[in-house]
Amino acid sequence: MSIAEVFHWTQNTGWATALRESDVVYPVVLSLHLSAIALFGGTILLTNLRLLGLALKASPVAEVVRQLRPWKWAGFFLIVPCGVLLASAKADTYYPNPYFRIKLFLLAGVGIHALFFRRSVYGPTAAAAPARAKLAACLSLALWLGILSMGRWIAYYEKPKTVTTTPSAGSSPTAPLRLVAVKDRSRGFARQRRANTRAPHDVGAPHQVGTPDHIRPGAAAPETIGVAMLVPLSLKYHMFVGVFPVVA
Amino acid sequence: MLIYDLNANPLNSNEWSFPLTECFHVASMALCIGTIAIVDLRLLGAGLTNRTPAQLVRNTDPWSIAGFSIVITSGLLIFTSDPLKYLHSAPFKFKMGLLLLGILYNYTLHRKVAQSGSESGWRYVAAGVSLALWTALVFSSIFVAFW
Repeated sequence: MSIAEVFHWTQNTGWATALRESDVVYPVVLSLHLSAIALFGGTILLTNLRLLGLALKASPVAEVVRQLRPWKWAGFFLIVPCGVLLASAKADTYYPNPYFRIKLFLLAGVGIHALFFRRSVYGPTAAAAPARAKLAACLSLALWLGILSMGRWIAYYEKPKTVTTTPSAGSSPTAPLRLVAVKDRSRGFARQRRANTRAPHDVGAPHQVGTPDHIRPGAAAPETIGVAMLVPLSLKYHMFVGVFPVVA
Repeated sequence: MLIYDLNANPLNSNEWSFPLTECFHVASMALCIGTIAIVDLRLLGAGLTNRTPAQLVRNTDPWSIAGFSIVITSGLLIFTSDPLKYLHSAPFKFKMGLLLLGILYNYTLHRKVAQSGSESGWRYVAAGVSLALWTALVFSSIFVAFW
């Protein structure tokens, strides 16, 4: 079995299919993944900032590392299973995704980083030279920020679709079919939404940025909006009507 | 009158600026929520127990503020990429409500409890409310894209 076949098999297991097709469970798993990044990513940041001498300067390095370690592992054991679930649900599209592959390499880089620095910089009796500790901290920050960025970028990759075109009238009838890569040109929010939705979309369909799905049928969605209108609009649509009296 | 053409927004006219802004958004989100979570853990009696909650608030505050400023700036940029879409999104409105509540709570009640050094049970409540608020904010962010 090739790796591609393993990915394909994973995507078609019952639970991966159910996860992919669920409107609620998939975003919930993604939210858990991101919440754990928010809550426990801070421990990685703070540990490295302490090594760089930028935060928590009053506490000894070894103490910060030791006391935050269990929470780093807690985050890791929440983030990784969620990530595996998310990747399994769309394994076929993740397999060729270069950002996904870079992310896996960077994760392997975290393992190598640990081999090099775990004992000397993050160990209980670490006596690393500050320069070495700072190098370890910078590398760790770079690796984790890279992993986070690649994770976000996975949603923006689209495998170039190959379509066959019939030979034009002038060419010989035996001319081979041409393969043309077609790229989706939609942008920003629309692109993100499309990447997140599981339904395959037609490649060349024009998409108008700025037309919300929830706008009432029949109402014409304006393509442009006055900058000055943003403030009154946000006031009009704000949700604090019920919250303000409670706060006040 | 000023007309805002969405297609003139750089976020909508090249492949890399939107995801890059999102990376800044997510990383700085982890910075500000993560540093607040460190204080919450301490209030719950875990994590950096050798320091008092008040000391931890003092130590982590500059990083939370840095995180907040980047997360809000990049968030505003992302908002400009398609303002109407966001204004019509229920999870987005919910998220903005939570953000307002979260910031207000973090710099008033939460801070007060952390700085008072009180050992009463209220510090657990304060930490729990803080963790719940910020987790809910992350959940609503994801649902903006999935609603």
